[in-house]
Amino acid sequence: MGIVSEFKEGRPVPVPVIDTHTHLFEWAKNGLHQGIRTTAETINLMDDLGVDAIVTSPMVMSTGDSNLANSQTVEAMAEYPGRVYGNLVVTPHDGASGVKEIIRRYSGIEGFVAMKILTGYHGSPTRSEFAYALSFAQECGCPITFHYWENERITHESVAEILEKYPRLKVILAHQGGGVRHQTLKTAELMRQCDRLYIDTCGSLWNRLGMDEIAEVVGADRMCFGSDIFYLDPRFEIGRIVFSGMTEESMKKIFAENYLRLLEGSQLGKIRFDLK
Amino acid sequence: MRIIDTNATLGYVIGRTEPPDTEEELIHKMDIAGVESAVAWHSRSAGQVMPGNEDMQAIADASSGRIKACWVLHPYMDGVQMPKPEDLMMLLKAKRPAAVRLLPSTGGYLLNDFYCGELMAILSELRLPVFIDFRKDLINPLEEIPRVAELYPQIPFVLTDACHTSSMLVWSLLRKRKNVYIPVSYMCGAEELGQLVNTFGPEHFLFGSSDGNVQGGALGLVYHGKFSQQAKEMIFSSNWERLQEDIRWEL
Repeated sequence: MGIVSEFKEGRPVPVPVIDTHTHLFEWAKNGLHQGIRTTAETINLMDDLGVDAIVTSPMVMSTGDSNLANSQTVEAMAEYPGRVYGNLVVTPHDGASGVKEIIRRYSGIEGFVAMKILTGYHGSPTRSEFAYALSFAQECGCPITFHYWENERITHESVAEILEKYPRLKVILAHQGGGVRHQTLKTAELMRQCDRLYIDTCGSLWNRLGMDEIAEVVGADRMCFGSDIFYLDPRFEIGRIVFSGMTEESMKKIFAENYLRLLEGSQLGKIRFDLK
Repeated sequence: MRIIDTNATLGYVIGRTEPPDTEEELIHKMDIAGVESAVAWHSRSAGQVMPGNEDMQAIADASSGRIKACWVLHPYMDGVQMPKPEDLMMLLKAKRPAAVRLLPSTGGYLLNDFYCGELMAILSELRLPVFIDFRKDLINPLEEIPRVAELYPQIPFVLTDACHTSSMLVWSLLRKRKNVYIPVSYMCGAEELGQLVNTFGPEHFLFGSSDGNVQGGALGLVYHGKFSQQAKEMIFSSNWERLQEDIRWEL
């Protein structure tokens, strides 16, 4: 049975799936009815849908408390090893020395496989407090995700500046590189100039491009699956991919292969699970 | 399963510098997603009400049943921008659009009985489904929908753009108003659709994408939803067909 027919029948996605953009722990803001609140409920949902592993950054990072966010990730990784992995998150709130200390404290913990900064919410990636984190990600070879949404304090120009300044840094722009059609098309231009730039699929509600069309402009080998669970239901983003008309080969790349390739050579942790 | 997209859009998207959605693209997306037919409104109607509706009707008439028309209506029925009430009733009965859409925020009017009473009376008599934008930044519809839904219990109010960030409002509305319907497209908080369906019943939910490209997301929510097969069939098509059967064209 193929991916489309299996998913239509309500069965798990039959190929490896790594959800690279997720959140855990309670967050009752923005009018949200949080349908699931615990890591156990997230794991149940992952089992239903065939998501093998998630890479997470607790929502509390948006407040600036990177220590709390990372410690929550450690708790979830300890509870569900092999299913929950972490983005080591840093925020500018504690200054450059605070960023250094957070990286020192958490980077040796095995489940952290990548990094994330909440650009936009926390300003431009070019701000000085992020410099050490970007250097660290470059040196250890792990990907770093930038939050990227239209009209927030991050621009394609600032991303281009970072990619030039850090010539070995691997960056994933979240939310299809801006969340809406014209931002994604602009991101695609940048991706054509730099093969270290990727996007995730997360939060595509308002993007009028189909996933097949996004794959056409950025390449299916440059997209990583992300769902925004628990904020959003992974069924939505999986459906956007599965019912887009793209080939199974492209889907497999997006669901896991591209992200695993990004982790190759990284000195941070590795994702280990039994491939389906 | 038969699938009807109750909430598609054609034309330019207001507020975005992007190419328009065409009927050819919509049908192409429907074919990929396995959607049998779609109810669409044309964004031209937001500014040029009746010419936009005529465009939409012409597209529907030429689509061999794949696309049904949703008309935009304004409440000020002066015989200029909008037909007078008696003419509107005749026109609606003659053309039989599948639904109408009110745009109080972009249209610059208040969604209450004082301003919309005459129009609501017509829609109530016909029992025509009424689509209303339910975005959180559109304060007036959010405030007034509980009142108009109570005043006009025969009108099915379909709240478009209700999404995970309007959840607190949607749950309250569904608890207190029977004639409120939600297209599933953006109702995508984790596990939320299943919890809503199992709490309030599947009859309140319609398959609707808002945009052909988002159909896949809505399909994922329903196909893989934690509710019965019968509930899925209701959401995909039969709830909408029931609302269509309830329209009283023959009065």
